[in-house]
Amino acid sequence: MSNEAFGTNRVSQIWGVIKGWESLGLLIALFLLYVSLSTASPLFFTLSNQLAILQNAAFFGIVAFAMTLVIVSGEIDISVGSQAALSSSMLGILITNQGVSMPIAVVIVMATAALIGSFTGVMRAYFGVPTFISTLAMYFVLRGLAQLLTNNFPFPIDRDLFFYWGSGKLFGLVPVAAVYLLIAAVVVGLVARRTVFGRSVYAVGGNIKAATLSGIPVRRVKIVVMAISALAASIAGLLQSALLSSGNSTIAIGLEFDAIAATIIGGTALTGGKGSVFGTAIGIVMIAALLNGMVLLGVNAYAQQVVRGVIVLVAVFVNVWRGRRTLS
Amino acid sequence: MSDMVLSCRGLTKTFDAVTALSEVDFDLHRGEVRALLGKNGAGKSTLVNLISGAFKPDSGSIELDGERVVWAGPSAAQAGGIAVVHQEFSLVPGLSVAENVTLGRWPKKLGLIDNARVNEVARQALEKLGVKVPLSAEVQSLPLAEQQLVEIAKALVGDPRVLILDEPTSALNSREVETLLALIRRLASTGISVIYVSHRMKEIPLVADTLTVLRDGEEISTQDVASVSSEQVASLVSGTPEKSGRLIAPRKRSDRVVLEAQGISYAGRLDEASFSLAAGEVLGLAGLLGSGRTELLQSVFGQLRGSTGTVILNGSEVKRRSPRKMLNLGVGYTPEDRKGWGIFPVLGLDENILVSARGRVLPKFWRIVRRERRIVSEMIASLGIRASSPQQPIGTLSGGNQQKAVIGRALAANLQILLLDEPTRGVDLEAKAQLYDVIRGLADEGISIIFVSSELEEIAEVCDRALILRDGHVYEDVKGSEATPEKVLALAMKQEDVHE
Repeated sequence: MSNEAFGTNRVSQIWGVIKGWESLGLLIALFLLYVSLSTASPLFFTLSNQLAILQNAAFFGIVAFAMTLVIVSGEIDISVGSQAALSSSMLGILITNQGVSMPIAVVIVMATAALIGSFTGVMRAYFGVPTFISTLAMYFVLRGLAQLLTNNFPFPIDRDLFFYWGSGKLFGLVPVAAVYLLIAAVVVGLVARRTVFGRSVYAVGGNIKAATLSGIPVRRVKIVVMAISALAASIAGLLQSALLSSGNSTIAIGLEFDAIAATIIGGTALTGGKGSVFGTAIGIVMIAALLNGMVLLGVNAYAQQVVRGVIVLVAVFVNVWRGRRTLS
Repeated sequence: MSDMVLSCRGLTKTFDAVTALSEVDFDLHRGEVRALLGKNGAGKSTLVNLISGAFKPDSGSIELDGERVVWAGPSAAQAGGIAVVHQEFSLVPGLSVAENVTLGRWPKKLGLIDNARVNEVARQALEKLGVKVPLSAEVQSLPLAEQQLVEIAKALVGDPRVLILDEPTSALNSREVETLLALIRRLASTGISVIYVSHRMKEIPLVADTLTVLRDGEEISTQDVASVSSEQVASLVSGTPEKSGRLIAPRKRSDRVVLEAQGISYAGRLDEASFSLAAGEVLGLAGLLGSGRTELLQSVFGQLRGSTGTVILNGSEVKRRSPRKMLNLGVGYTPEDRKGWGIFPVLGLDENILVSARGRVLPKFWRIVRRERRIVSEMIASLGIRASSPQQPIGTLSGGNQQKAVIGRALAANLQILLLDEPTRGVDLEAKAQLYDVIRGLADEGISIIFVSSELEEIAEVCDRALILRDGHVYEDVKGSEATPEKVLALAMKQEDVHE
């Protein structure tokens, strides 16, 4: 009797997984995108170009994974681009002006970012300041600080090792940045699915009141999520610095757009509580491939921006439509 | 028949291969009040939604005053003379009564809102209802019962021929219910036909002429209310043979006090309320709406900031109470507002059950998926939760199953004291009976329970002992066997001066 019950339970479980596998549609969309870009340009589907796509994807992809946690928790972070610029500028100042050693400079930069992220988190958790507003403020504050620090001039960082760790190639082939992207996917994926903290992020985003009554440390969750986002942004800033061999206050303009777009394309609901790292990974690849393909096809740069915006609109539309269908 | 207002034939509706309504015929005469009964998922909402244009039927027809109608949407149905008052209020808290009554069809002059007309239309609607509510008052400042009247007045603005009321009494106390039922009779006598959806059996003979019972999407029976007993109706609704009301002999109360609340006060809502709870006891908390039942539980649980008083758990005082702390000490609270405060609608049933267990009976950092699965399937089995899979989003389950999951959340965390605030609200009859069994079973296992309910029969049926709360103070303490609905109600409504 109990065995039988277990058996049917198992079947319905598997059926539930299949029905709930919303990423299937995304995978199909990605496949169609690849097929059409490959037919349009013979240069697109080559090993070197695909690796280049991954390298470019790393800058906003690492941020997008963290952004997934942020949006699932019911918040938003639009300060990531400015945070990346501040991190890059700080690195340039610390190394070139202050003569701080590379590892220590990196630690200081990342710790500062985590602190800044925690600050918006505290503002949210304890004072109820919506992150849309606080990170909009930070969007200007952090970019301004970066420009103040550097006077808007690049600070050259000429360390070969830094260059290698940031934009070198493993075995002369695989971009190091792509490896970071993979690591970020695995780490955030593990956090989201396998840790109590990760599940709490979903709970807090799903219903913050119920989360409070269920004994989840709601404030701590919000603060940590915002800190993770800022930390990811600073990593993106460091990677960009390595590529440019300089600390630079003008990098990562529009980073927030690509990161949020990849998350939304991946099926994460802006209303919170719903989203997956796997979906975001597909979203990242789609955006990076599309940007790369448009360059290969020689699409007008202004037209590229239009396409980017339209893609996000379509993604939101699909999300809302799908959400409505599952509710009724 | 000339006085036939609404005539539905063969209404059928399916959602993703699930038949919600199958070949249902439904006729309604002028001035008739028809009770619509059935368990959650029996098809009541679907029928209401088809008649009111929220859904389109897959097949079948709807005739209004002898003319076939196909609604393009809810507003078309409304314009055609069908008004719905949903269980959840659709009022805008910050707007005035008059603005709410006329919401969505504010009369305009030169493109601007004509306030004089707004007030006039609202006044007429409230007059039709025969009640007095200040037109300029903000809706959020009104008691729940008056908000309900505003909601009905709003439905009356378009001079509907059919008025559908979906569980209009679920938030009202007994006296308010009586007033509302009388109001509905009055409306019917003016020629409006009413469809009255309710779970509360005892209201039916007071308000309805006829009743229709739905079960599993099919019409089971339609007959005169006078010709059928409430036991017969209950068995029609549940589909099981009649069962005589059982009474539970209260067991001998354990002497070990696990929870003691002393002098709990809160901002004019609670006044020095005190009580004690023994191990393995089911303690009923009865009182009229607004008597402070919910506030008392929330104060004990540490949810209400600014409440004063002492809570003693297993002999030691709990300082600086918070929900987290109380949970860590083995006390859980299931809120009255299940949708707003209880469930995580988009998360799966499994996640909903596990949230409180993690970090308590389960480790703080890494999940152990295998143990989690075992806990979830144990809870699903022991509470009799019905879902297509443990991952099904809980928002798509019925109210009864959601409530069981919220209780399961506390049980999964191995809590020893449960504060259940209106656990049976909005739950169908069968699920209610199951919940009673669950609560009694937990008490037998030694778990102590406080059970708040507006339905006094429940207190008598489930509890070992009942406390009567009046104006934020705990007065009488009645043994379960003596807590008859009549006695509890009399105590709950007793005037202050009698006591002091």
